[in-house]
Amino acid sequence: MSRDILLTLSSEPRARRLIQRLGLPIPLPQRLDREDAPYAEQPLRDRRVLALGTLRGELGRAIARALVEAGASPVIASETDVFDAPGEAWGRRAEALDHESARRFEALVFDASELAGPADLRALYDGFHTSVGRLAPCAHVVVIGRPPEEASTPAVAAARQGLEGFVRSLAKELGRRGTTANLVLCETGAESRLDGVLRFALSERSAFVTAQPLVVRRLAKAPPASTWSRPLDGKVALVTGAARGIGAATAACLAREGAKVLLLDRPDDDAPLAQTAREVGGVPVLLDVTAPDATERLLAVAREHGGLDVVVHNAGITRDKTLAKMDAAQWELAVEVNLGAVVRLTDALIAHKALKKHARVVLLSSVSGLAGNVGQTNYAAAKSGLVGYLRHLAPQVAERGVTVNAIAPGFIETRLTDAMPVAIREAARRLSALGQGGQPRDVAEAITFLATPSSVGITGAVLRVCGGALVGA
Amino acid sequence: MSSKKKSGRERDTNEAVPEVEKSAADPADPVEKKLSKKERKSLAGEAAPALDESSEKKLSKKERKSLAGEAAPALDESSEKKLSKKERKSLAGEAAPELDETSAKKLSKQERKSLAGEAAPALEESSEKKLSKKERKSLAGEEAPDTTPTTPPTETSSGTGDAPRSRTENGERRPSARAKELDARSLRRGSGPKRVSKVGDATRRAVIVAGIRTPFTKAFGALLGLDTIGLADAAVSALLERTGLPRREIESVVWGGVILPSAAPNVARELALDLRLGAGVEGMTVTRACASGLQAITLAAAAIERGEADVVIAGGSDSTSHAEVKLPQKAVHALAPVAFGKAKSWRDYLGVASQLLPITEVLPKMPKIAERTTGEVMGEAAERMAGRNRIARQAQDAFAARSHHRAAAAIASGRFDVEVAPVTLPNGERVVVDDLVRADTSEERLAKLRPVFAKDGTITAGNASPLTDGAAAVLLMSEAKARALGLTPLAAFRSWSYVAVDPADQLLIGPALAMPKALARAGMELSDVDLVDLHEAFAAQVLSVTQALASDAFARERLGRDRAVGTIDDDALNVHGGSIAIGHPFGATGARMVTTMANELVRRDRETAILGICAAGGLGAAAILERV
Repeated sequence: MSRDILLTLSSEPRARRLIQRLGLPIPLPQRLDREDAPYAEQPLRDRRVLALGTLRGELGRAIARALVEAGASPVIASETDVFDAPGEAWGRRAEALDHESARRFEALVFDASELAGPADLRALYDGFHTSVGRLAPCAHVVVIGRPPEEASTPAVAAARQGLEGFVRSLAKELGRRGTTANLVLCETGAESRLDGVLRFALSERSAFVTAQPLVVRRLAKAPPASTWSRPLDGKVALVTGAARGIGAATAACLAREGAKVLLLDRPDDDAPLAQTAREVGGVPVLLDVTAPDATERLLAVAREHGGLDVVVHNAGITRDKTLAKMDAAQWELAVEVNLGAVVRLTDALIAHKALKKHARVVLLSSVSGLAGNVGQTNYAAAKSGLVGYLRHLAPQVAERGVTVNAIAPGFIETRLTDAMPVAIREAARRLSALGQGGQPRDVAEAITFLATPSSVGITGAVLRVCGGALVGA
Repeated sequence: MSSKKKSGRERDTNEAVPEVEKSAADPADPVEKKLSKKERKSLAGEAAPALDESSEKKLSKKERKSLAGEAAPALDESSEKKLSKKERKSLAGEAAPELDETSAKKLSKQERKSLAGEAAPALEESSEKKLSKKERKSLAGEEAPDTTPTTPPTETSSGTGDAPRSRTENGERRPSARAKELDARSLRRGSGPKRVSKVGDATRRAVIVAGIRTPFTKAFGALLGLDTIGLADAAVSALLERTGLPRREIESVVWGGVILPSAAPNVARELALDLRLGAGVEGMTVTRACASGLQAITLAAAAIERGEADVVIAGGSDSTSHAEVKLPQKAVHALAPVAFGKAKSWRDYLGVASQLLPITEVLPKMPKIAERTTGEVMGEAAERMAGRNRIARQAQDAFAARSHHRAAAAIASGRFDVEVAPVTLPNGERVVVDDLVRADTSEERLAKLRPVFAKDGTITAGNASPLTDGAAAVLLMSEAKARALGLTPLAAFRSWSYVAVDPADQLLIGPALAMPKALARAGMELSDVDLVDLHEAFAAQVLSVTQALASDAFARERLGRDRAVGTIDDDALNVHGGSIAIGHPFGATGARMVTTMANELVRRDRETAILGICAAGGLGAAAILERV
């Protein structure tokens, strides 16, 4: 794994001071705070969270309850009362914001759900202008709004859509300090589904997710109540391409949260697959997804384990060539593995009821696949195709409580990216808000979040894990 | 062996417990008690006409014989429990008229025992509330939660002669409209499963016959001469002396402790052997941190209810002074060759010595009461709770002073004499009184103490429970056995509950969840309970718990109730002080609280008491005692 020199330099306090004193124009990205431990009951325990904005009604109460139950110590600037009940129940009453104090906040939640028009966007300025400077490094900001599609008038829709641009810019400003900023759009009636999303967005699990909108929807049927710790206990998860890299990291994360993981990869990779399976305590499944009998065999495996609760289609390949020079086999393989097999296998799992109720399907797309790249016409066709597939599928399976989403990783430090030429790799690393590449575990944590019961509000979505990359849609 | 000392506060240890209480009780009471005992003994054939046909299957052979007019005393043990059930049933119309002159409370209790599903209107208003409680239970039938002793099935008619249509043709209980309504209400309250089938005979209620404790003394103080087993010996032998129980009746010992001797951790068995209770007396020792004593007692009660034993001694002890200071495991491993005799030459010894460096890593460390998973010292956790729940220093000191004053008053008035037995140390010295209680303390004096766990904290040595040595033991029997031996029971368990919370959140808030659960299992509200005894780990912890119980938000968010559990009357809470003043030998505290509350229920002639204990690991325990 090639080292990120700048990240190493910035972690060395002496090097940092030297560069700053000499005034060298070398960007020093902030080393991100990440969390390796399993999900805890209170992931935000004792963290100071600044809660601003409307904070009223059902949504305000849902936000307050989510924060307090996650262990946060709320600090408020306005006269809101939504923190009274949960604060009293959990012994975490909201404090008033002390403008003189120098204490910093590890998280900031802004309730922007009641914007009546463009003029109301002023509240964002008023709220953030003074608080932005009080955020600790590697803090997490979440702005909560309502979907523009639900707006009653165009003016309201304008204000709501404006939140997205605001958050994207904010994320780019704060990225230098390792702080993330994301937008959560909560459909009316989906307030009870906010807590899992807030726990993800306000904790280190989303260290490499920034500048993203996440829509929390009513669509998929809610699962029975589950625990916050070991949320995947008793669940069966299938991860394809699990021998190395993102797949292996994902298998490890899912196993950590209690799932029985079926690690699938090609027969050629049986050695690393067996090793990874041993390390995570999972079951290796040797299967080439392009093989003619792959569907049958996969169904048999699923049946053997009583059905699948989580399916992660991570197996993917690149066969990069400019279109004129690409031969048919390269085209075929890239589209087949990345899209064709995924569609075929997922359709079969659904048709044969091998996907249990409240199952989670996660597809791996790609930021560059969505944006397009020279030499990646085949890859991009496939990765974009996945998005079309899941958008159409999500409403169809929502009745069974199944969600279908895609993760679009940005620049993740893996074997594949190590193979890139140095100059391009450096450029790709720096062209993001956080100024560094992500790690396989960042993608794995995002996939694991989508696999948990509490992410039921997110379906039909593409979640980029890109550190706020400038590239891509 | 019997000691006839009558000086000062010492009493005749051969006197049965009830007699001691008689002196403090209402003149009418002794008559009352004797009457009820005599009544039970002389029931014989008087009850027969009152019994309904539909309950015939409940009658054993013995009962049918006694229906024909044979005297009760001829009963052998096997049918004893059936008879007691029948006795309760047949109290019906016989008991009520004779008790007209007694206090209203007594009247309602008797009536409650004999009621067969009659509506409340039959009773006077003052006891209506209490009646509805019992009525509710009897209406709900025998299928009470498995861990609680049920009220005797009272489906038979009372002396009115009307047989309520409470059973269908094949004998199944038909739930009345009121029972259905109460069930629906408890479901809305989210009280959890109430109908859990009970194993074994529904009438084997376990009763508390007596409780004795040693004086509680400061650690490394007066009781230094006795280790935890020695203290347990002292408490149990005093218990046997005071009750006059023949040793051969004892079947089992269940003991609780936190600091268990590593060479002999089963203190229960050790004390049984020390006191020569009988080679066949089995023993088990349990640990649930500060709730170990209560755990031992509830296990004993459950065993009796299941028919595993008839007479069990249960309690707890801890000698903080004898806490073993561990060598770090590194030292143990390094010294292993020496310990196993494998080091022979000077080279071997040099090798061992070289592994003992650096010396600081192999010296024993002072044990701290810290949570293993969070690394947080318990006092620090309490300090955080005080901050989060906004419990002021002044309130904590006031509560601590209250604890001392009440305990001192109890000692001075002789209230504790019935339950505290002097201990004779191996060197001949006697320890007679709880030496941690300070009658002369005050809020002002406590305010001068410095915080211990945080620089600008609120918890001091004065408003926290101190390190203590002591033991307490309780004698439990099946109700039938108690009667057979001629012993008057004090109280029984109506319900208990053990819960856990995240220790990283509020470590000591457990009782605020355990108490509502125990109340729900007993079908009661906090306002129904007469006395409350909370273990005072820290004043801040007690005040946090009472605050949570009184909070509507807490009840809604965390208990699934629509209203707060309740506010505890100051007069009903820790009426004779608590752990802050008396001390807290970890395993003994639960047994101390059960003893004091059982005695207090009799002394004040009250019906129910609830106990709440927090414990390390984020555990909480609660139990509801009822007067027998």
